[in-house]
Amino acid sequence: MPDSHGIYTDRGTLVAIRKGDQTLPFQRIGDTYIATEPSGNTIVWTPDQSGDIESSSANYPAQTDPFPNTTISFPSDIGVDNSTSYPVYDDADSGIYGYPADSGVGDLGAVFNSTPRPLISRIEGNPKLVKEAEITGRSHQDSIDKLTAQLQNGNLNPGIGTKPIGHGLSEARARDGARVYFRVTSNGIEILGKSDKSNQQKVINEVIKTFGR
Amino acid sequence: MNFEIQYIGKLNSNTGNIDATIILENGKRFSATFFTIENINEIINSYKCTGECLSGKYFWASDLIIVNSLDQETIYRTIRDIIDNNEINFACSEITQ
Repeated sequence: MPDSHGIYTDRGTLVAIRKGDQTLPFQRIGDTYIATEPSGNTIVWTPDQSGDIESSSANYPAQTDPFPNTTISFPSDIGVDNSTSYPVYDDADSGIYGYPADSGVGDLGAVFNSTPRPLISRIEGNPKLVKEAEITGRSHQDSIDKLTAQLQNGNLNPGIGTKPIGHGLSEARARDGARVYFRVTSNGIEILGKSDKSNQQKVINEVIKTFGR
Repeated sequence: MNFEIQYIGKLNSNTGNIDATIILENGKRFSATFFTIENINEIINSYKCTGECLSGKYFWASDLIIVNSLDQETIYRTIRDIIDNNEINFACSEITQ
């Protein structure tokens, strides 16, 4: 159910505001949400108090990239285009919400991720990756744990930002140099490797060699 | 002292920050992560919803070097200056493995 601001907080953490193909940084101040576009334009809005907006009935295709392009169909009764192309997060539990056109927000989407995704470690299948993960764990285990927890809870861009390493594989990066290599599958988050800065390139090469297409 | 910069991933001014290994001619290796101020602001903004760093109240990163542009020439000149000023040991972590 939406809260008094029309926001489905029970869905979990609001992780992204999407407009077109962009993810907009945002903040919430009281009843107001503020998102900033790269151009410097600021979008300020207070969601519809009625909150009578149901989530999309769209089909979510299998995705391997955290930000794929796909088509989301909004319910026709919320006043926005019925079909809008959005990059969305994987996981059908993520909500894509449209706000009525007369709200001034237009086709803005709010992406929630709430259901913890299964974490599947694929490291054990490669002794080299196991060894590097153990080395990394000696100095960065706490940070590795925090990164994986963020990924599991739907924040696919924790720390200083996730980078693609090619082949549909990604590198989550912590401020202290810890790195977690992963990919998103329909079964959950697959953890493919762990490194710090000292063995970073070595682990990337091995991850790509082992899991690259 | 001559040096080489090996980027971890593709250097792309649109991606905001990048890891790199700096290799000096004496064989010493250092790690650095180059950010722009704009990228740090974006990260801090994102922390407001993820809760990281007290929901964006502060930011730090190891081996952080801020450049005004994330391009090869700017990064090279930055490292050149840091090395010439004997600051590389303070700005970047030495990779000893």
